[in-house]
This record gives sequence, C-alpha cells and structure tokens, in this order.
Amino acid sequence: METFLGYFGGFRELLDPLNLAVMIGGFLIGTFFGAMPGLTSVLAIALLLPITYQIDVVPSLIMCASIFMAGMYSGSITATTINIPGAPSSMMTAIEGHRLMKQGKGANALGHAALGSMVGGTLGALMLMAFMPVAARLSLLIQTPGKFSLVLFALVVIVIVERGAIAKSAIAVLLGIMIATIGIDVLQPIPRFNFGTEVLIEGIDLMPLVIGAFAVSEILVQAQSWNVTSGVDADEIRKIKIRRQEFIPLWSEVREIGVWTYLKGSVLGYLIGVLPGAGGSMAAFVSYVEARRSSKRPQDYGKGSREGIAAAESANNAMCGGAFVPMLMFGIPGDPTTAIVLGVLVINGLQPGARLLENQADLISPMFASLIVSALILIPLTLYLLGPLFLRMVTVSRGLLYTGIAVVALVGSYVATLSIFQMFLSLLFGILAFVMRRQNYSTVALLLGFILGPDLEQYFRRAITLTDGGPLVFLTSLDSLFFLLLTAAFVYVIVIRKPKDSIAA
Amino acid sequence: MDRRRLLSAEFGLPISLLILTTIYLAETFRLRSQMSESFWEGPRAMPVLACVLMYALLVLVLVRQFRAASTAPAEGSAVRPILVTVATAIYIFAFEPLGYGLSTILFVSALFVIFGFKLEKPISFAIHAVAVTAVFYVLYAVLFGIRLPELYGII
Repeated sequence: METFLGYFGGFRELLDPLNLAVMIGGFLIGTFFGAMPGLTSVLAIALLLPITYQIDVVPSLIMCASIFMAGMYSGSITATTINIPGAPSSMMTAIEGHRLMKQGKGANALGHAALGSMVGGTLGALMLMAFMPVAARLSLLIQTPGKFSLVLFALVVIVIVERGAIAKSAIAVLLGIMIATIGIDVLQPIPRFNFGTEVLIEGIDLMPLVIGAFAVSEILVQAQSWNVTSGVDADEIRKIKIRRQEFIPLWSEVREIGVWTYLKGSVLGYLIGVLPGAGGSMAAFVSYVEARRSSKRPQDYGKGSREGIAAAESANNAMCGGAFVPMLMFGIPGDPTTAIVLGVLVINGLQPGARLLENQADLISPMFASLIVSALILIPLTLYLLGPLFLRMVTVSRGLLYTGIAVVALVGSYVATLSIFQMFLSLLFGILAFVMRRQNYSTVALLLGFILGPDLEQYFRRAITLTDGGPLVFLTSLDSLFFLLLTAAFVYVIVIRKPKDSIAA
Repeated sequence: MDRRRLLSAEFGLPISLLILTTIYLAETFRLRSQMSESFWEGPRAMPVLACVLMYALLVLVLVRQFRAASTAPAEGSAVRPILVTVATAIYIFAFEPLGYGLSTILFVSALFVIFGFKLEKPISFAIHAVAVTAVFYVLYAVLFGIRLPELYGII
C-alpha cells in the first residue's frame, strides 16, 4: 500500500515547475530526435547525460523517461508521412502508415499511431508500477550465485538477439567487460590495467563511452555516407497537407481494431521489454506479426491496416515500462536507454534492487509518473498541437544538426568532470564504435558488457568465496541453476532451432 | 586473397582486438592479489576468462572472413570521417588553451566546411557559426553555471 501511495507522490512531484519543465522539454527533445531520420532517443539521452551531473536525480530521471517515451512514439511521424522511420521501432508503422498516407489518410494514420502509443505507453507504465513490488520480492530470493547466473543470462540474451552476428556481438560484450575491468578491482583495493598511468586508476567512466558510442560514432557514420543533397526532401514535406481534426481517430475505426489488439500489443511489448537486448523494434515486429496472424482482416495488412499500426505502436511504447523492470530491480539494463538511466542512478549514489523501491520510492516514482503523463497526455497533445510543425522540423539542415550534436557531445563530456581526458576518451570510443558499427559489431552489446561486466565479476568471485568452493557452486545453487537452464533454453530457441546461416558471424 | 581486403577494417578490427587482448592478457599476469585465495576468487579470474573467450571468438570471426568469398563494399568515402576526427582532435587540444569561444567557433566552422553547410553564403555561414557557439555557451555557462575555459578572461 505504501508503495502505491509513493507512486501518487510521484505525480505530485511532477507539478514542481523544474520537474514539469524537464519533462516537457525532454519530451519535445525526444520527439524531435525520434522523428528525425538518423537520430534516436538514445542519442538524445546520451547527449543529455552530462547535464544529469549538474541537476538532481529526480528531474534527471523524469527527463530520461519522457525522452524514452517520446522517442519510441515519434518515429511514426516520418515513418507515416515520408516512409522513413525516424526510429527503427517504427519500421512496421511505416509499412501500414505510409500506405494510408498515399490514400490521403496520413493524419488519420498518425492519430492511430499516437493512440496505440498512448495506450501501450500507459499500460506498460502501469504494469511496471503494479509488478515492481512483486519483482522486488523476487529479487530478494536470488542469492549471489543466482545473481551471477542472472547477469550471465542477460549478457547471453544480449548476444544471441543479434541474429546474424552472434560471434561479433559476443566480442563486443567481452570488449565492454574488459574495458570495465580498468581501474580499482571490484573486491580489493588494487588497481588493474592502468598501465602505470594515474588517469586510468579511477577506471573508465560511463559517460565518455556512451557519448563516444552513440554520439561521436553517429557523426562519423553520417560523415561517411554524407551527401549534401540527401536526407529528407523539404519540397515533399511542404506538399504534405495535414489538418489537425483528422488526427483524432474515429470511434468506428477504434472499435474495428478492437480493445484486444491494444491489450495484446501492450502485454507483448511489456514482456519483450523485460528481456535484455530485445528493444522496441522487436516488440513492434512481434506484436505486428501476431496481430496479422490473429486478424479477422489479414488481407488489409501491407495495404494500410490501422490494426497493424495499433499493434506495433502499442507494443513499442509498452516496451518502455518493461525495460525498467530488470534495470531497477536487478541492475540489468535491457537496452541503451535504460543503461544510461542506470548510469544516472549510480552517479547519484542509488543502487538498483528491492531497497530502491522500499527506501527511495520518492526518487523513482516521479520517473514512473513521467512515463504515464508522457504517454497519456503529452503524446496526443503534442501530436495535436505540434504535429504539422514536427514535420517541418525534420527538414532542418543536417550539416547544422550534426555540427550542433558534435559540440554538445564534446563540450558535454568536458563539463561533467571538467576533464580534457574525458573528451579524448569520447573521441577514442567514438572512433572504435564507428569502426565496430561499420563491421557489424554491436555497440549496444559493448555498452551493456561494460555496464554488466563489474556485476558479473563481483557475483562470480563472491559466490566462490562465500561458498568456499569452485565454479560448481553455480550448478548446485537452485536459483543459479534456474537461470543457467533459462539461458540454455533461450540459446536453444533462438540459436539452435534457427537455420545455420543465422548464426554466421 | 586480395591484399587490400586483408588491410581493410574487416580484418583490421579483429586483428587489432587480437593485439589489444594480448597486451591486456600480459598485464593480467602482473596483477598480484592482496589475499591468499584461489585463482577463481582473485582479480585475474575474469580478465583471463574474458581473454580466452575473446581469442576463441576472434579466431572464429577471422576464419569465417577468410573463407568468405568477398565482402560488401563500404558505403561512402572515408575522407569525411577522417577530417571530422582530425578536426575533433585539434578541437580537444585547443579547447583549454584557446578557450571555449574561439576553439568552438573554429571547430564549428571546420565542421560546416566538412559537411558543406552554407559554403556559398559566407555571411550566413559566419552567423550560424557564432549562433551555434553562443547557444551552447548559454546552455552550459549561463543556465548550468559551468566554468568553461576562457581566453584572457573572455569566453
């Protein structure tokens, strides 16, 4: 009961002018980055990470949540209007939404995308709040060997979901783990891998890795494929005429889609969000395919199906709620956004786990409230008020945009710790991530390996020390055995049952 | 096999990682635990395990790439990313000595040139360069009160 009262306190916190401003500001930034092809909400949060060093944890988390929700929804704007998904999670929306656009029903498609996002985002956040106390109790049951196997499970899933590049993804995870070992040892006060230098004794901070991997590398990727005349066609955008009243979906259309489609998409999206490494694209894809499979009108799919839009959009926004569960309860982020949110928590001295909900619910409940308000109020409101404007905003010059991003990324990496060394690290990781991306090595796996590496090592060594045994302890401990069997089951389902060519490096 | 392919990032990246892993592994053997404990409990266990797995996976990737007939050609030119990297490295070196204002305006101008932004309109080019520098100065120095490096006490 206290937990639920704490959640209500979160909504009260949102009325604070600063919190309200960062939520709305974050939502608008997330919408822009999500709508702009080539930019993502992960990039927005990465660029704003240094700012979280300057403001309190509550507004930082509120901002991250609203960016996350906005970025997941706004990819549908360009996906529908110009058939270029602003975010990968809007790929399925592009298939159906752009067909409707060609039929002169673009605003209607955008309205259905917003409604799906609104329902999915809200339900996902509500499920997060409802199941958090249960997850907290479950997390208390897991002992040290089990925690090791749980982290291992997360890392294995992160690797195997990169179908087609599993070996390369595993290399990226290991590289992240190795980078994380630089600095003071996790259990003893001895420096490791500092190569005799003082600057490496404190280890590598999350911020330069995030800025390098997601901002600097993006600038380099864009620079490589640069064509001054490419990008969004401004003339095409100007020709698009959208009337605000058409944004509101007709009740008959909503009834035709059916409540079950929204509910099923939301639950699927939430559950996929809980899985590490899965993300919004997989949520939207699975929900879309399932909706088509069980649809009464499968023939409409691919020709402008509103049901398809509703299924995909409700799932990718519900994923936001699910992604927070493993991060908040076990410190296991499932995607880059929650990885950065975890960084914000750690920077502010908060440790994920059951006690976070028990003792510091006042700090995280505003983030839950921000997820709900962003989904329930800001998505429909911004579409109605700013929908046509967002369409114009995507015509902004890419030269100006990427120059601005470069300045924010580099100055941001300086301002967090006032260190030129951090700027150098950002550049270094940016170059590394650029080469990795070009060769199909996952930078998300690199980041998650870096974040989960210390936990993996700590639980591994602690488990062996506590039980005074060898690595067999992981097979004799029941909770550990459960997660190892779960890992084996996932490997079997995703890798072994798949055709051989899908696991090629 | 084509020599150019062997020198490309396709092979260059795993080979570089192989070298880095070897340096990392060598450093692992210099680690000394402060307590008497088994190998698995000590600070070397995870790094050694990571190295063993890394070697195995890198060899797997290299063998697969050797066997592959060809690779997809890289999109675009490498010149622009190199220019961006050089401009960024110079910016980082110049950031403290030149101060935020001068170094950033030069960096922004360099990127505008690399990205071909407003090259045909010098006045608009200059206005945009000053505006970008000013916007982020206001964000960091004014809104968040962060002391950015200055040149002779000016921004």
